[in-house]
Amino acid sequence: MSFGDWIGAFLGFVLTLLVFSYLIGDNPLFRITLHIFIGVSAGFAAVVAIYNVILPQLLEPIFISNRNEQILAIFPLILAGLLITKISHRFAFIGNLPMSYLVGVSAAVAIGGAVTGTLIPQLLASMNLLDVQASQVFDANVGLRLLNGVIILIGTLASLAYFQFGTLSGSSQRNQFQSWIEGIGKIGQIFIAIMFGFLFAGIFSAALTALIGRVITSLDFLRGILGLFLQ
Amino acid sequence: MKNPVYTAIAIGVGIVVLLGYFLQIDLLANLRIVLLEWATILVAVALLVGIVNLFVVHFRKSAADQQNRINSIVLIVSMTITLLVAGWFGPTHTYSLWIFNYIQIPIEASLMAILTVMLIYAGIRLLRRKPNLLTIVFIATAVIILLMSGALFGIDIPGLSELRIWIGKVPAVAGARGILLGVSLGIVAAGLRILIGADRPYGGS
Amino acid sequence: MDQISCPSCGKPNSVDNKFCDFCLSALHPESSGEEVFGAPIPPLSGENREGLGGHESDAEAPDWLSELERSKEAEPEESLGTEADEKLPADAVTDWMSEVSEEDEGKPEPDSAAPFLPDQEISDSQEIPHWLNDALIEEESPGSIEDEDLPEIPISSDAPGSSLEDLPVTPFSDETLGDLENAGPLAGLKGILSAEAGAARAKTPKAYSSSLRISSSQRAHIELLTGLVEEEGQPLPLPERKALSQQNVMRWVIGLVLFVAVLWPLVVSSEQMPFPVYDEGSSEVNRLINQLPENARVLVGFDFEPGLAAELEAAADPVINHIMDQGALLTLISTSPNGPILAERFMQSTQSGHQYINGLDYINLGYLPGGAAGLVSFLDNPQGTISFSIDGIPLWETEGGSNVPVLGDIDQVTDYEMVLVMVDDPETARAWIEQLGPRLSDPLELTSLVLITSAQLEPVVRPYYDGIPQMVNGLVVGLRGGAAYARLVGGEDLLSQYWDAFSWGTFVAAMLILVGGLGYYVVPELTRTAKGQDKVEP
Repeated sequence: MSFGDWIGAFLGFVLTLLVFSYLIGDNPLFRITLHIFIGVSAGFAAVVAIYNVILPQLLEPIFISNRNEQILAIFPLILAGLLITKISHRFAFIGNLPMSYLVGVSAAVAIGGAVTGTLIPQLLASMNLLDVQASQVFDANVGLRLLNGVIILIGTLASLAYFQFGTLSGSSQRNQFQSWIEGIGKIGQIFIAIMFGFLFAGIFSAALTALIGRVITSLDFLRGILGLFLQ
Repeated sequence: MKNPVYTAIAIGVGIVVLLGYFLQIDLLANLRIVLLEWATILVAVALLVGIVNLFVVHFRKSAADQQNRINSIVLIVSMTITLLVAGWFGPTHTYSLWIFNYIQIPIEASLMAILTVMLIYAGIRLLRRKPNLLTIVFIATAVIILLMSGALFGIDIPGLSELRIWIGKVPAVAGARGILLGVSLGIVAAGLRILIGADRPYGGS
Repeated sequence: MDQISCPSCGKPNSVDNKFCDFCLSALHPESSGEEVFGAPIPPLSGENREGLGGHESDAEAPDWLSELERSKEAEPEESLGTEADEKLPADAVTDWMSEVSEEDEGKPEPDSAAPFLPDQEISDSQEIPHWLNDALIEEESPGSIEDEDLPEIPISSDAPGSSLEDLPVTPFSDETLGDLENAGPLAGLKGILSAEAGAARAKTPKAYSSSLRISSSQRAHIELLTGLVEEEGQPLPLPERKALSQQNVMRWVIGLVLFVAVLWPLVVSSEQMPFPVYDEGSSEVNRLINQLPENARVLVGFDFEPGLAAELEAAADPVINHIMDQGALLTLISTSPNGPILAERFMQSTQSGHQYINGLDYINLGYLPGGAAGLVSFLDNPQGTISFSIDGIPLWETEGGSNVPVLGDIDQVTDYEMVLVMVDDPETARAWIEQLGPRLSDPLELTSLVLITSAQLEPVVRPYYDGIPQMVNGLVVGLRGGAAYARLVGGEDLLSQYWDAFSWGTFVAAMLILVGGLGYYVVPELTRTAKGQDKVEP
């Protein structure tokens, strides 16, 4: 390890301790550490955006490209200029134009992705749960697979019902229907509770790995320091 | 401020991009590519605008005689140093990586690490109030998955490993699929409201 | 309960009320006995009488007023008017008011239709909150008496009667009623207005101030409202947190136990925990990588945050090692601004043993802004979306292809043999699957989509992996998935460091939740039950 690495390892060790001090209670040192993190993170994000997008994609085409590309490159430059007005309170409304452009694109991409990437495939997957031929491909025990398929199908519909029944309202006939959906939704709650239990364990595992990572790094640093003194 | 131009832009651009998912027309595809290219550039500019705004806000805070101005000063100093080092040498240079490896990763990973204590504490407190069926199901699932995530000292408890796999492949998938479908339906509804001009989150209404 | 309507605002009130609950007007003006010509009569000391500008002698005052004054003279001069008594106690005001009422009982009522007197009702301290009472007392005390040095005070029409001090006292007397009419149909009557007299005494009208005149009660209300608004703007102090609360103690105990559980295997370097024998998703990824041709092109997405770098790097280490062992050429990309730096760090540290050269064996395209929109743009048109690498290497200088060997003739995303994404966020994972998955669903497309995810993503991603059509072809989940992969291909160095501590940590966490949760619930339940039995037994 170089001297710079030693300094860095010491800095990382101290910062780790400062963050862990939150377990004792919220304190000014913890908050300062948080602000260091925000500053560094924002600094990197700005540099990466400038290096990777603003310079090569926005500015260089204006000076380097051929005539047609130069004309085409003016439009994003104008939109970017308008977007920058968002910094000012007085002229922020000018930035609404590029914002409307971004919102339109984002909405379209979100709809397209949700329909083609989730709705259709997941509905097909739900239907294929009871497809015996498909089941045979994946599992020798067709009966067990079909049983699991039925459970998944019921769970999917019940979970969906739990999220959707709140939008129904109206006449007494609808109320009857609504009470059915609510009943199914209660079954859905159990499936959702299982899913969230799984998610909880997953988040803990991810956080635990981060903890182990910090402990390993800190131990390496302390062992290194100890080794230096013992030599 | 009402401005139909904004709404027209959002609808027009959105429809062109959306149609590109379903129709294979060269002109439409080319137009879509150009619109998406511009959108990616604009998002990067928006990111920069946000960072400049962050800097300005904290600069004002640090200039004012406020109680927590030290935090703002620290933020500005750390951001400026990072901008200078990574901006001058490049974001993947050794010096930039030094800042990344020894400042950003330790802080962010440590923040993630203290989540472990909070999660266990939350899990314990969940049973403090009189538990119902859902609480018990939630905790039982979490405990089973946690136990079977590690090696469990090499002990093979009959059925437990299979139970973990079954939970992951059947009831958890069912719940997740229901949520995914619900979320997708919500996204489609919200997106369509924008594309028909009913919602104008860009200040068009 | 019987109710009466307020003469001022018309709203219903209980008959027991002296004053209106809504507008604070007197509900029984005839019973107050304090009004003469719409003005309440203060207890008058000598000074006050001077202050009223009249210099009236006792002879000029009516009988009932003389009596009132005599009764007040028995008391020390504490009521009103002296400079020293600027702030009166609440009971001082209420006392004299009540005495005036008692004195005036049985006397002829001067005017039963006296208008609403805003200052009268505040004398009853029981009907209004003490804070309002205090405020009113401050306003009514001597300061306002001094104002009465003015010979005449105009009374605005919207505040009839105005305040006690604002009004001149003009009691009935023969003099005030004027001369006896001696001619015409009104002959013999007193107090008749004379047309000639009015015309003869014509004079310039008095100049009244155009400034807003408000009564003391209105002023009190204004000050009250201002005070309330100002208080709203001031932050309330947070309640002080106990330094040693049960919550803190529990946190410390949990933290300590967990820390010891994680630290112990790392200190002793036990490495005794066996890796998982089999994981379906990891095995599928292994199969797909084994099928890669020589010099296959693999697009690797680094879409995770630095906080989860430990987990993702440990899980991805055996997988990327395996891909590099196959001689694949890597294109690195990220939809997160931190991603390109994480990619560079990964290539320089964990994969340094492979001697991959930037630009030759791998290329770091850098940051792809716009989330899902950026992804669509890149998947459709990589050349137009990213033109330079993060290191500034121009990517597409030649027509129809790249000058960078790694990119070769990549024109669209399906030109890659495999797309491998390291991801920790459900939204980002969904964006990749939703935008890329449908393009790969064609059976003729040979590109496979593989995810290496954080453990927290397993429930979200699994429906895409387990479903038919399969949107994700291979799945390595968290440390466990990585360990299962490492067992298949070897290269357990990095994972073996983590695996023992991870196994201990998850076990201890499960036990803490189970034992702690039961302890939290069962012990109080048992205590409650025992207490209940104790109560029943005696």
